Amino acid sequence: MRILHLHLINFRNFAERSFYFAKTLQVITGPNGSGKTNLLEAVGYLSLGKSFRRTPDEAVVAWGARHFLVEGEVEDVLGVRHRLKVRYHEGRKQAFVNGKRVRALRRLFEVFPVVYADPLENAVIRGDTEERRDFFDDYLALLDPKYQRALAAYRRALRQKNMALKTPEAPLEPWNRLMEHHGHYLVEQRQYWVRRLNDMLRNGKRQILPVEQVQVEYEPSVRLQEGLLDRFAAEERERGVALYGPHRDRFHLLYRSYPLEEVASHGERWLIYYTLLLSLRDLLARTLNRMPVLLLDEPFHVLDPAFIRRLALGLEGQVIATAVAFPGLGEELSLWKNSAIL
Amino acid sequence: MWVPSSLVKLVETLKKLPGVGTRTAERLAFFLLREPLVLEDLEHALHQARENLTFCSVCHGITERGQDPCPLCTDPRRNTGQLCVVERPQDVFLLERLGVFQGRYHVLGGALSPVDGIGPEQLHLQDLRDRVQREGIQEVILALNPTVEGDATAHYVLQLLADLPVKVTRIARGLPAGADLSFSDVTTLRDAFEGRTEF
Ligand SMILES: [Zn+2]
Repeated sequence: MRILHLHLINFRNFAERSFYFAKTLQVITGPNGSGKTNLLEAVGYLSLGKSFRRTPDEAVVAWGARHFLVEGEVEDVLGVRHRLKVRYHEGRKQAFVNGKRVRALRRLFEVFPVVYADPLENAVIRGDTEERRDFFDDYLALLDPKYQRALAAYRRALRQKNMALKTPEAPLEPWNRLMEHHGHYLVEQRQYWVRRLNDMLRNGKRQILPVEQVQVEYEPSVRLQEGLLDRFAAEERERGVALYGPHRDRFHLLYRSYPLEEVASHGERWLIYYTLLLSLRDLLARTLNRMPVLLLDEPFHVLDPAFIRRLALGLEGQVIATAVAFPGLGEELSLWKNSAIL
Repeated sequence: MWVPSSLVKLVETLKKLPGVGTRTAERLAFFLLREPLVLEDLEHALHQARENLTFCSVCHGITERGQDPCPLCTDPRRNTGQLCVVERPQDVFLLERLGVFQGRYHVLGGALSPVDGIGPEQLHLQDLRDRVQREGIQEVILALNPTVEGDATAHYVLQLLADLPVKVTRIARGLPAGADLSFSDVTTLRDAFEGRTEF
């Protein structure tokens, strides 16, 4: 997939702006605060229908305005073009594909998938259990719509159970049955997709990425079966919170067979993060039959020029990166089409 | 700015109705003032509703005062062995309009939802168990909404009736949350009712 152009109204710092993108490698340069990340976020809106920074829609509306509009044209490998639009007005959001309103935002992603690389500290680097689980849950939900529904149902049942645990005599069993039912699917799919991802990491981008032996290990917290969660009722009542189930599962990142936190340097962790992201992108491409557009926010801050050069030579599809223009990267940037944002 | 206080009161009251915002409330208010006959009919209907409508003491559906138990509960032509459990009174009318079910009903008055403060005591659940025992029900059909809360309530009912000699079934797809039925809804629900499975 690739995006050809983008039109924004009242989106963050853009009152009204149009952007045109290069076919393959595009770097957008501009000083800090000029809205480079906002531009990537807007491209993300046409794919996810929401902010990948988890910002609520109303906070994305330009200051003083009551609505925003993100519109764009994308093209698939066969050259078929689609017009995408996301409109937000006072609490109501609508998405359109080729002028037709779509009920599920997921439809946008199916037409126009993107993968976004976080410029700041992220789950993979920090190793926070919860953030890392959310990271994988987000991608699994994109890979499998049924996973997305099971995850939503599981989280809702969990929320109800946590409230029931704080309410004397409220029954827990109905929520446990639902957490077991939906949780079973989550565990099964986590196992399946981690296996697929590890195959990808083993066989994938060795020619591009200088890090090898990156693997993901999934560790379910319990062996789910019907009736199991009832056994923890006394302990959970005492603590007032649900302690067992897939919401407590762990994802470990292994580098040369050891936990990344123990062996990888800061620089290596970034490489591992990009390795993982590119493998997820390939997995999405195979599942959706479209190569997601890769959005790299400030990769030049954390990756060395040699790596960026290999990235530029070896990557398929469209890549849009942001950078504060700085000297010393001339040669590496020469492969990229450079446009200043201002 | 001067606005007659009765008009303000009318608009404010209309705004309390679900799905009615300020603009709709104002439109309705001015319409009613322009159409005195409609206003009179509405006044009458509201009065009748308040005076005559009540809940059936057996099934907890809506009935008229003086008709308790309701006609659905007392109709001798209806199958007394089957009991259809729904969340809301309007679900009864929805299923009646479909004409797929000839047994009796039991309205729970909602679904389990601790975050909304709704536990088993807030619903007509114990009463359901009593009815199954008292009326010798052979099949309880769960026609709850397709939500996490509806599913949890279904599990609760199953557990509640586990020791009684009654078959608990569940319609293949839940009742839609809205009140309007499209043609496809009718077909799907009819199929869902016929294709219900033991739970
Ligand atoms: Zn009745």
